[in-house]
Amino acid sequence: MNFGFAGKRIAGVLTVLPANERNFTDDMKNFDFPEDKSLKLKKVMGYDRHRLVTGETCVSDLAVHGFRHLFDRGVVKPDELDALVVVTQSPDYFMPATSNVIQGRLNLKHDMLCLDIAQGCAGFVVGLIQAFMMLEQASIHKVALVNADVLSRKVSPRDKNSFPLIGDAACITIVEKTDDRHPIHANLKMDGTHHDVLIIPAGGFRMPSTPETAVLEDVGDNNYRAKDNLTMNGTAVFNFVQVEVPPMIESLLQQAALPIEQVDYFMFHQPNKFMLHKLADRMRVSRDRLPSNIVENFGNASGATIPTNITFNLAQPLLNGTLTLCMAGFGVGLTWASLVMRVGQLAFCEIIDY
Amino acid sequence: MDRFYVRLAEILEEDKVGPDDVLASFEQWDSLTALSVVAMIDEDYAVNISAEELATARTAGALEALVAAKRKP
Repeated sequence: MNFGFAGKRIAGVLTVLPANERNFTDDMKNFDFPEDKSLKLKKVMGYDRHRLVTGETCVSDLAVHGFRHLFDRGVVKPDELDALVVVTQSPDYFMPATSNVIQGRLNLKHDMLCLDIAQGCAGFVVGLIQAFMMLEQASIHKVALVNADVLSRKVSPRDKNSFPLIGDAACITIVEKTDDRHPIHANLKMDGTHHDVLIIPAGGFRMPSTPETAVLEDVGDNNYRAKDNLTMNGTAVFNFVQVEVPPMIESLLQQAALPIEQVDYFMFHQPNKFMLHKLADRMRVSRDRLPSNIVENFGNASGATIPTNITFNLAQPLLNGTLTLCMAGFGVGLTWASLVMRVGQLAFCEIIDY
Repeated sequence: MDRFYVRLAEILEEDKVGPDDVLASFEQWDSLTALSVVAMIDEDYAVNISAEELATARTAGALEALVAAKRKP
């Protein structure tokens, strides 16, 4: 499905990272796995450090910290926000929505649309599409898009498939109307027949959490996880990404009538370095135009990886000028989505710790 | 398809791999190696092998046959 917009821009991007950092050498101690094999995993996948929340830190804690920073800096005024979109797979509660929790904790105005979206790896693109659709309304001038997850709390430390790459983060992207009519193009597809490829089996209404669902099970390949834990079929995800993402980008650039050389950077979701290198090679894009260094520095925080990729790798060029960015997210759902637009000059583009 | 066995040997960190060799018998065989093999087949032969399909190939020769069968239109 294709989308087109005009007269909208990204005003700024902020990443909030938990200050707590773990490294792969610490993680290895929990794996039931020979050291040389663990080191091979580190090398091939590009694992190193990652940021994880401590205790019971929630999505709203990270987000509220970020908003207060933006309000204190004066780069965003609370009363200007007309909508708050929170994209997360790890909400504070089943009910109410985390967007309402954040609205309340910040005492934001009542004349506001709060909306939660249950999306993960594709959540930045899905969130931007939603924010742009809201901005078509006369009453909505500025939208705060929050992409935040604390999924490390749902990953077994003894699961070397998922634990070394998981990260937690919250990103706040301010999206607003502008007189610049430069077109924005996006596309997205979903395939719910594979909804079990990335899943937390227990804890919802289908399989409520019980003492049994918390028991770590030997799931083979020296991995141990419980039904309460996140589980990922890595090979299925790899195949899905290699098959679906390159044609999606080709179709997006065709829709935008944009030659691939005119894209400055491909800012993709960050599953791991291995997959991103294979993707760049398959798309015949040089690896320096498709940054892949987020997992090794901060971990994969689901929908927060694209904005973190932007704040970590492109802060200076975007604070000083404009770039044409092609973004793509792919994962849980399954969902795959991409978007191409000019970004910059931004009012803020930074990373802070929580 | 000699090149197939050369690439397989590289991934498995072996000097030589032959058609009768049982994949699971290699010291380096694990989920990461399996993913590396899937990626190699994708890159070199433009064929996607699922984890389930890979599990049906007991030997290197069976895997080669699987790739050859999937290459045919």
